[in-house]
Amino acid sequence: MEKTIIEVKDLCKEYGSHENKVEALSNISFGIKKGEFVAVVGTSGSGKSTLLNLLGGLDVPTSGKIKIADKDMTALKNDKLTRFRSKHIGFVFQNYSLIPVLNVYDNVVLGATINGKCKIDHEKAKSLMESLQIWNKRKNYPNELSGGQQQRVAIARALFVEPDIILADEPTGNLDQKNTLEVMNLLGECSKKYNQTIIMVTHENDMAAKCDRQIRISDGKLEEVTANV
Amino acid sequence: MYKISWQYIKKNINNTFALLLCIVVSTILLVGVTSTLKSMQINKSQYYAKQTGNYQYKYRIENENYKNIEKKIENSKADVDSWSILSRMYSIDKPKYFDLYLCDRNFFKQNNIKLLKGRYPNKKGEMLIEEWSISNMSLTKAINSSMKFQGKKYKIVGIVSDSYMKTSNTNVGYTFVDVEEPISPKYEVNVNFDYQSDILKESKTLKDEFKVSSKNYLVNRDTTEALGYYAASEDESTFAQIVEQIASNEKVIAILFAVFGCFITYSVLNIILTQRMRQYGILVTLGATKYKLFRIIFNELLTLLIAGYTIGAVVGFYGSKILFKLRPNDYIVSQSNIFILSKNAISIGFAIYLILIVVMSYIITYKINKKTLLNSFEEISKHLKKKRIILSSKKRDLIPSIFSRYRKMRPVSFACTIISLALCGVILCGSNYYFSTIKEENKMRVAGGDEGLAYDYAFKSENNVFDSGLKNSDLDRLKKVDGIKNIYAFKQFMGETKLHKKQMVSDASYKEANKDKRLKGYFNGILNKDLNNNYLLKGDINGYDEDMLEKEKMYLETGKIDKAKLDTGKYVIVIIPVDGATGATNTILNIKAGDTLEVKTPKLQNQNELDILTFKGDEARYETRELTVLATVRMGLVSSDYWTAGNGLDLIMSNKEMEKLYGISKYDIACADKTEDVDSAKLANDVQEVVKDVPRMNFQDNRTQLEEQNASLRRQENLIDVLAISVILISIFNMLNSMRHMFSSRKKEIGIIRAIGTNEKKILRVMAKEGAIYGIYTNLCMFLGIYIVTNLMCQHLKSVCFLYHPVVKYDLKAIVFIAIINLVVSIFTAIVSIKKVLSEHVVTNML
Repeated sequence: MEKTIIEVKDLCKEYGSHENKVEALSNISFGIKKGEFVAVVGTSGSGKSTLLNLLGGLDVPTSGKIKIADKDMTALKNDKLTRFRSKHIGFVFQNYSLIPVLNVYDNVVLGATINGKCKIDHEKAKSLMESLQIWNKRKNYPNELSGGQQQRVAIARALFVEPDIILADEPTGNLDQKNTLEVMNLLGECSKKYNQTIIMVTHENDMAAKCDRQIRISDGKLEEVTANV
Repeated sequence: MYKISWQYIKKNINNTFALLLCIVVSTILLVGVTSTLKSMQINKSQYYAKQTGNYQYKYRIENENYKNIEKKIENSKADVDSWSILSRMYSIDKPKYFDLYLCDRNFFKQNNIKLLKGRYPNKKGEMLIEEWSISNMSLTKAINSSMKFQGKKYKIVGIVSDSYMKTSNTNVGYTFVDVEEPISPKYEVNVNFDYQSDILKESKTLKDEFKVSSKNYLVNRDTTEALGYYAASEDESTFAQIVEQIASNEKVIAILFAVFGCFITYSVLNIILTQRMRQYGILVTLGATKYKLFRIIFNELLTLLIAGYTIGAVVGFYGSKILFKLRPNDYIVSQSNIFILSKNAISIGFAIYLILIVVMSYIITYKINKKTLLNSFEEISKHLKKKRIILSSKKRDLIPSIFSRYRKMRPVSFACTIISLALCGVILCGSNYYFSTIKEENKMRVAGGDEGLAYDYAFKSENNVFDSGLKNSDLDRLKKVDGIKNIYAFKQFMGETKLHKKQMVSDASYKEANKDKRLKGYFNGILNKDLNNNYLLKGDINGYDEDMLEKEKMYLETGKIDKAKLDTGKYVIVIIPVDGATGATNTILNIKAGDTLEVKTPKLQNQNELDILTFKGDEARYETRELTVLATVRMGLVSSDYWTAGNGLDLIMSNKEMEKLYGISKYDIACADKTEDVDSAKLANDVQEVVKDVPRMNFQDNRTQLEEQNASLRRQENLIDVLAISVILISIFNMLNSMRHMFSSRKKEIGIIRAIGTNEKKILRVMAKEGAIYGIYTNLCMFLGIYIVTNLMCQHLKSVCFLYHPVVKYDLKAIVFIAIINLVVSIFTAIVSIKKVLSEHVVTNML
C-alpha cells in the first residue's frame, strides 16, 4: 500500500475582512496517496482552484494544515516554500501559462534551470518531448502552437523536473474533445509510469470519472470523496 | 465616442496618472526654461537699450514727411511694439560740441526721457536740454536762456533727463516734430518689434515697406544679439553666427524639450497602448470602425495632453517666475525684472505633443486593423523567430534571458530610456567643458592685467582718435589722490604688420576672426595678403611705461626687455597670441627676437578719416617702418576693447618711443591700484572727479568687471545645472515608469516563474543585473554624447569665441562619477519597479 503523500486537515481559507469576509474553503480534510490520480470537482466558485493554490503553496491558508511528504507546508517560510515547490510540485494551468519569449524546448526545461546550477539532461528532455509528440516543435514559440500542443508543452514542463505531485487546474478547459482525451490519457500514463500523484481540478464529470478518486467540493465544503471503479 | 475615452481615463487611474505626470513634468521644464531664457534675453536687451539706445532697428528715411511715416507704420504688416523718429537739426562745436535733435513724442516715451523742470516746447524756436549738458556747457540758468544754431535762436523751455545721452557723454537738446519743421527731410525711424515675434523677419518686412536700401537699414547689435538674433543684418550670416542664433533661440530650445518630453511620454504611452491591444481588438470586433477607434484613442490622449499641458504650463511659468523674482541676480544683468511667458515655446511644444499623440493613435489603429490579435502577439517575438536558438543548450539559467528578451522586444522604449538618462551626463559634462574653457580664457584675457599689474581701476578713452586721453599733468593729479598706490599709463595705436609665409604657422584662427562683423566692418578683417602673398596682420600697438615694461619680463619668451633700446625707436616687443584655455605655446606665429617686422601705421594727421583703419587706399595716408623684434612675450598687461581687442598681432613699445615715432603724447589708458585700507567706493569717486573733464574718458572698475563676467558665467552654469538635474529627475521618473509598465504587463509571466519555483531574491538579483545593463548602455550612450558635444563645443569655441587653441578635454573624474550614478540609478530603478510586482501574491500575478 502506497503511503499518504498529501494530508489536509481542517483547511480554511477566507478572503476579505469584516462584512466583506468570504469563506472560500471551510474545514476541509482529506489525504491522497502517492501515485494517485485525483480529480477535484465542483461547480464554478466552489473553491476548487483555491484548494489547488493552497496545495501548491501559491497561497496561504487562514487556518488548518497541509502536509506534503511529511512536511508541514503551512509552517514553511516564503523562501523555503518556493524551494519546496520547485522540487516537489509541478503545475499545469488551464491557459497553459507558457513563457512567450522562450521556445518550446526552453519552456520545457525552464523549471530545471531555476537554480542555475544543475546541468540540464538534454537526453531526458528529448525523450520526454518525443513521447509527448512535441519534439518536432521544439524551436517553435508558444503562439505558433495549437492549444493541445501548448498544453502538452505545459505538461512536459511539469514532468521534466520529476515532481512528486502535479497540480493541474482545468488542464482540458480550453481544449477540443480530441485534445482533451489526449491530455487526460497523458496525465493518466504519467501517473502510472512515473508514480506521480496528480490532482486535477475539473468541473467536467466525464474527466473526473477517468481519475482514481474524486473529491467533490460545494460552497467551500468537502461534500464527498468517492473512488472510481 | 468620448464616453469610452473618458472611461479609459477614469478606470485606468494608474496609467492616466503616469501619462499625466510625464506631460506635466516635461511641460514644466519646457515652459520654465524657455520663459526664463526669453525673460533673461529681454532683460539683457533692455539693459543694452539703456546704453546703446532703445531700438532694435533703425531706418534712415529721406524725402518723407512725418505723417506719412506714421501712417506707414500703423498700416504695416510688421509687428511693431514701439517706434519713434529722430532727426539731427543742428550741431555746434562751441562752447562744446552740441546736437539739437528733432524728435516725436514717442521718442521720449521709448527712451524713458523725463521732463525734470519746465515744460515741453509748444511753438517754433523752443527746445529742451539734457540735464548733463547744463553743467557741461556751464549753463547756470538753463531755463529761459537761449542757444544759437547757425544764426537761429532757440529758447530753452525745459530740462530733461536722458540716461543714454548721459552715458555717452553727449550734449544734446530736443525739439518736437509737431512744433518744428525739419531742416532736411531726413529721419531716423527707431523701431522695437514685439519681443515674441521673429524680429529679423519683422524688420525685413518693414524695410521692404519703407523701401530703404541696406545702407540705410541699421541694426542695434547689442539689443538684438541680447535677444538671440546673431545674424541680425542681411550681410552677416556666417555659419558660426547661425549656430549661435540657433543655440539661443527659445523656439529651438522648446523643440528640444518637447522632443525630450515626447521621448519620455512615448515610452510610457507605447506600453500602455500595447497593453490595451486586446481591448481595442474587442472594440473592433464589436463594430468600431478605424476612424472611431482612432477617435477613442486620440480623444483620451488629447484630454490628457490638454490637462497635463495646462497644469505643466501654469506650474512651469509661475514656478520659474517665483525663482526669477526671488533671485533676479542669478538670471539677469539688469534690474528691470521683466518676466514673460514664451508664447512661441508654448505653441511649439503643444504642436509637437499633438503630433506625437496623432502618430501614436494612428499606429495603434493601424496595427489593430491590419492584423489579428494573434498576429499582434506574433509581432512581439518576430525578432526571436529569426534566430530560433535553444537557449538552454548554452545557458544553465534561463531567467535572465527572459528579462533580457523583454527588453529587446521594445528597442524604441529601451532607446528612449537610456538616451534620456544619458542626456543628463552629456549636458553636465558638455557645459562643464564649455564654461571651464571660457573661464580660463577670461582669466587670461580679462584678468590678464590682474595678474600682471594687479590694477583695480582703469581709465579708458572711448575714442577712435589716437592722440586723445590723459596728459602727463592728469597723471600727476591722479597719483596724488589719497589711496592710489600706483598708476600705470598706457598709450594705444594701431598698425598692420607684414609677415612672411614662414612667420605664419597657422592662419586658421585669423581667418575665423576675419568673419567677425566688427573686425570685418571697421578694419576690413584682421588678416589680409598683399600682392606678393605676404600676410598683413593688424593689431594694437601699445606704449608702456617703465613699470609695465619691467613687469612684462615675467612673460618673456625670447630676447631681452631693454627700455633704453626701445627708446631709440628701432625696436618693438611682440605679444605672442596665447590661449587662456590651453596656455598653449606659440604655434600660430614664428616670430623670435632679432626678426625684423614691417609695421604700417596711419599718419596721425589722417586719424579722423573714417576708413583709416582698413589700411586700404591711398598709401600716402600711412607710413611704414622696419622695426626689430627686441623680445617676444606671452601676455600683454592690459587691453582695450576699442581696437582689435587682442585678436591680431599686438606690439609693445615704450611710451617715449611711441611719442618719438608717431607723435602720440597722451595716454589712452591709465590703470590704478589702490592701497589695502582705502574705501573702494570713495576712492572710485575721487579718481573719477580728477578725470571728469577729459572728454570720453571712461572709468572702469576691472575687478568688478571680472567678477561680473564670472558671475554671469556662474548664472549660466547654474541654469544649466538646474536643467541637468531636472533632466536626470525626469529620466529616473521615465525609467521607473517604463520599467514599471513593462513589468506590470509581464506580471502573469513573472507569476509563472515564481510559481515554478523562482524565489524573490533571485528575481531581484536578475533585475539588478538587468538594471546594470541599462546603466551600461546609458553610459555608452553618454560617452558617445560627451564625445560629440565636446567636439562641437570645441568647434564653437574656435569659430565663435575665436580661441586660438581650444582643445578637447574630458573631465574624467566627473564622467566616472556620473557613470556610477547612472549605474546606481538604473539598478535602483529596476529593483524598485519589480518590487511592486513581487509585493503582490503569486496568484494575483497570474490572474
